[in-house]
Amino acid sequence: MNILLRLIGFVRPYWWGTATSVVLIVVLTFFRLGPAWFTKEIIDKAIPVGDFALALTFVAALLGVSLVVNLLSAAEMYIDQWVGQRVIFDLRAKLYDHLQSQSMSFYDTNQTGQLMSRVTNDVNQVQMFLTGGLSRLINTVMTVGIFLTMMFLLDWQLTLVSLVILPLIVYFQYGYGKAFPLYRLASQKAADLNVVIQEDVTGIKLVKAFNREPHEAERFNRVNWDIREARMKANVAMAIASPGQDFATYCSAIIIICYGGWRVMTGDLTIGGLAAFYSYVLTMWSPVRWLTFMNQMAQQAVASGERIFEILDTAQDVVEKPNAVVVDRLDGKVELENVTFAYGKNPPLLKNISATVEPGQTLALVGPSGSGKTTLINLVPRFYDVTSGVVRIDGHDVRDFGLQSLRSQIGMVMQETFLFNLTIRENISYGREDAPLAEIEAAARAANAHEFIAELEEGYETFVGERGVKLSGGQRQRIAIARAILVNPRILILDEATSSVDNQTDYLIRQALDELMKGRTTIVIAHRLSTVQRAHQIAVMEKGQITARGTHAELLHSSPLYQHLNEIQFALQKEGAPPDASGVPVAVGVNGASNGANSVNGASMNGTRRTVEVAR
Amino acid sequence: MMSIGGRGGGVGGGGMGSMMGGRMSMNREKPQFTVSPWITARRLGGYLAEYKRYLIAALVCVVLTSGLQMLMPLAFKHVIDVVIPNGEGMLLLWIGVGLTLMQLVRYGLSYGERYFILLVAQQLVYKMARDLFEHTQQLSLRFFEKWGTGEIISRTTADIQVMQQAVNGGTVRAMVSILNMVAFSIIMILLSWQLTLLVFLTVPLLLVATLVSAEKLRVGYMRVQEKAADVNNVLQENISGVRVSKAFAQEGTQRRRFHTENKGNLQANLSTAGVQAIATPAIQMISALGMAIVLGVGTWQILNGGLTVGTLVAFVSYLIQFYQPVEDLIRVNNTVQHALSSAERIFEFVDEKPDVTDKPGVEQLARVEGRVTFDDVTFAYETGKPVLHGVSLEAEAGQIVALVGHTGSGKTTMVNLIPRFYDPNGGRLTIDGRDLRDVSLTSLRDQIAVVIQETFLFGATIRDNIRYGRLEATDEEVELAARQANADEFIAQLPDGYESWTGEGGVLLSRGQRQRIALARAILKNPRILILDEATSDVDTETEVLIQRALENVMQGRTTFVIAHRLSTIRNANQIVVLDHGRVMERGTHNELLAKGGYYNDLYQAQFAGQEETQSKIDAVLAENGPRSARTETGREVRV
Repeated sequence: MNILLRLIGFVRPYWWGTATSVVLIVVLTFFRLGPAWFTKEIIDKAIPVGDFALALTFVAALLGVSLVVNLLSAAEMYIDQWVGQRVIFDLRAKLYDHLQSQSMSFYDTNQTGQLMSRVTNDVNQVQMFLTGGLSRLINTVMTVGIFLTMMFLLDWQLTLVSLVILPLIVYFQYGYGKAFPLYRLASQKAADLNVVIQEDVTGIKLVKAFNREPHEAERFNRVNWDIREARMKANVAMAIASPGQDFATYCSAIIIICYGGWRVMTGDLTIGGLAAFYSYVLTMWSPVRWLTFMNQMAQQAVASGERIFEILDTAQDVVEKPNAVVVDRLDGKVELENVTFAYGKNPPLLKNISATVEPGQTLALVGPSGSGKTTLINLVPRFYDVTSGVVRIDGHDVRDFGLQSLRSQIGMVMQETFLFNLTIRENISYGREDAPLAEIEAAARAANAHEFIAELEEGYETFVGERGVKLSGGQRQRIAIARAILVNPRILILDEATSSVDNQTDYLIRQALDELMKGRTTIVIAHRLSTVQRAHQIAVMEKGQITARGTHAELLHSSPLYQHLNEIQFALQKEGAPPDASGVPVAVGVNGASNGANSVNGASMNGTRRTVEVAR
Repeated sequence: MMSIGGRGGGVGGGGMGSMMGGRMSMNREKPQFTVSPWITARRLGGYLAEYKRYLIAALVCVVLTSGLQMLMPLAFKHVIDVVIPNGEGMLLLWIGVGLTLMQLVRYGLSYGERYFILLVAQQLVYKMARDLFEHTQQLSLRFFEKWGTGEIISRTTADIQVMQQAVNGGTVRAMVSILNMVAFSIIMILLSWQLTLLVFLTVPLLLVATLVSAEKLRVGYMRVQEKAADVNNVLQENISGVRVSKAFAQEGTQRRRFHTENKGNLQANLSTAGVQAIATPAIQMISALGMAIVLGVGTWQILNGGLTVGTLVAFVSYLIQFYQPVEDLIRVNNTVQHALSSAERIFEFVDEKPDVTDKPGVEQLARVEGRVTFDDVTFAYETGKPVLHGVSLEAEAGQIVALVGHTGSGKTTMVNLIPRFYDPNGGRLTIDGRDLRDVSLTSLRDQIAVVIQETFLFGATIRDNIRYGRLEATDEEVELAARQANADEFIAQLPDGYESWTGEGGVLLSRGQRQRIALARAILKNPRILILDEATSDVDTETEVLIQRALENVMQGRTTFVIAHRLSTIRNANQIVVLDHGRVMERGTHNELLAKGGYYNDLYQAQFAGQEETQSKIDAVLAENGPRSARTETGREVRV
């Protein structure tokens, strides 16, 4: 009930709309008594005295009342929808804003599908209740109340007797109630069926290769049959309840005909009154049919409301301080001091990490997966806040910065490249919307992406598709790099992807990354030999702690874990160079980076073209 | 009084519209018929022939219920005109008892009618879904390529859903109400043909008003659905890209995008609500007009002695029931149109002829040696654009054949012909000397395992995914296969081991893990012929070592066709076939071809040479960590 009140609380800004709507419903219900009343008057007053003019007056009055009823009802319907849709708009916007302001730990614990379903399905459920159910509920209560009062006034004895059928109505309402869970079950099963189809169609080659068509058909049909069963059961429940409700209503009408007829004979009721009574009874019970339905709607709205409020009530854990520092340009010194981090009450993922990266230097993080490297880099742009200890940039605690001013100076290139379903130009300029095309192109060039973009039919205006599906993995990565180059961040955070691309593309990406890292403070989760070789310091992480640090050469001597990692990860890599026509690797060492890059430019051109072909 | 029932329907319609918004976004175009809707309707009727008995029973129930329903106003008329003026009190009681019994019977009939009709309707949808699914299963990959995954999924889900919604109680009831309308018209004519004629005058008005508003509403709901889909899309993207928007501090931009879509959605909903708020009362006003005419003219007739009061009262109550079905029918018109267009789309698939089928009188293929030949094979996906030109090839049993070439050279097409995913347009393929088309598909595919590039896992447990290779395999056999595929180690480390859920499409596992599960699946099947589409190496070196070892296990003793991306594979191959634009350019072993210094040499330098150093390290690891022959020994144990 609390939830329902809270949902209705969203209506408050539009209370005058709802109030108008309720007033209109009351007025309407009164007016709806009109047609039957005028019919009664014609029969009782006009016909016995043979006054056709009077009869015509009543007919005109009936038409007039109908006109008013329909005009008011149009207004009421519109206001009702207007309020409901506004409320939903507000609710959705509020939910969205709240989602946006949550920190990453919120997104780690909630799946996309879950969140989507709350903002769409659950909001829809609430919408259905607010734009239909609520007003219909008021309408039903009003209709029954006003019609019953009218009937009592006309003939209270007849009214009481006609209410004998009440238990039947209640009984059949209960029958409706049984049908709804079954309909819900059927929809759930329908979703299951979709999963089967989805899997079968995407995996059709496998199904055929393993001769599993009969198996799949059986799997499909089992669910298909379940749906049929659930729907059939629901239909049977409805087939009992719905005509049952009619039956009860008609029983009530029969009582009116017979007992009412008797009362006309005894002179307690007029013939017109009897006719009016007859139509009042039929009208009054008709909306009651929807009571159970509305009850269901309300219950669903409450359940959905609960899920919505669960999100709205999640406190934000990363918040800006009221007097947050705004800086124009950072130097880029990053310090971690005794940093410990844990999700809630879980065991800590990072324990007492301390490290300092001077402006323009590179810190490489290495370590087995699960050692806390990703968690560590996420603390710098404040995707999460430390549990204890402090992360400082240029000597300020990151929690003292304005989030916007902090993050606009940090560039991130992550392992799974995410592109928006926009044009390439818009994706590159994502961090700086106002960037002129010339700068965008320059960034693309620096990221080795300009060539393939230029070869696309629509160039920079090419839409990349959902999550960038229309581009190859290597192309997406280079666009992500261009995106980071364009914002010209002081601090760079890199998660080097394990190469999912061919050698030539891999080379182009490596070259682009080198370009990006130039002159910026960089913290990189390293997977490449060239990266660790060039890093100013390497931190070896193990179970949330830094167990060794130093340069590549130093660690090879001092850290057994590093030696092992070197064996399995780096030693197998040739020193970063493309396979050129002769197959002889070109060495790109720490000092010779730019030379090496230049000398192989010619060879990499061909490579670019080839990748583009593949991508198409 | 009639305005209330209709009002409820109007608002209900709105609810339905927004409810369908989420579900049917795939299917929001205007229904377009390429076949006459009548033909589709007749075909649907064909599905019903089987249930003739139920339909007849339902029809009888409908006719009887409608007939009995007529009695109520007639009885009322009799009470007013005869019983009351004559003061026959006892008769009233008997009329009451009679009417109650009549209503009881009517209740039973009404239940029967609903039950039978819904039974048939549910059965219809059930069967259509089943036929559609089973039929598409039989179609070759050509069909799946022609239509695309999205379209096939949309037809098998969204269109079936539309059918499902169309046959729900409301629609079927509305169809039944045509019968009622005819019945009401007849009894109204009998009561007073003059009044009935006047009523009919309002019908064209009603038709015009409802058809106009139905069209406007249809367009409106379409917009609502589109806008709802837009909101969903922006939302989906925002949630999945939240890390990027946070990293670039672009929450403001995203918020604006969302706000625009949300606003658009609001406006679409409101403009539809506007149409509805005008349409529903307008239609009800027309019925009120009919009512007023009947009352006015009726009274005049009573005063001139042509009509009794009871008749007028009865007529008015028939009138209300006469207008209701008209409104119902027009309301369901959209649903029916939509359902017919969906049915047409469904039938279009059902009508696709399977092009790869068993010839009559095919034989079962017994366990083969595994000698595979391509004999002057030509193939085209689209007529006039051949992808393979006269390809010939001979693979001895147990050989490894590596196919190399640029993207689009026809490698995948070639291997797809072996399990008969497609049939060649010219030439033939044989296994152990027998044309593939002379043996049954099932017995052929039973002896072939395919490991494709995009490893596909079902949303099931790891155990079930491996067992997909041989459904009757025991748990021990499943685990043995996993061991040979080098998958047991990581499986054992998962909290639920073999019972771990892989997630939809296997998303909860890494690519390297998925690949090894796919290999285990192939090992469990124990095929004579193995087809491998090697993924370009997108895994770390450690995993690469595990995969290469697993590959060796699975290739041992089997004829293997492999689309090669690994240096180790081409080195080990008995025969390398170099393809270019659907033609065999060169063939031979790695060393022979390299020595030739031709097309293969170029290809090798571009694609494989880069792996040389890596591979030599891997070879070292492989040699160091135990001899591979030991593992293949266990491999033989599987083959019972």
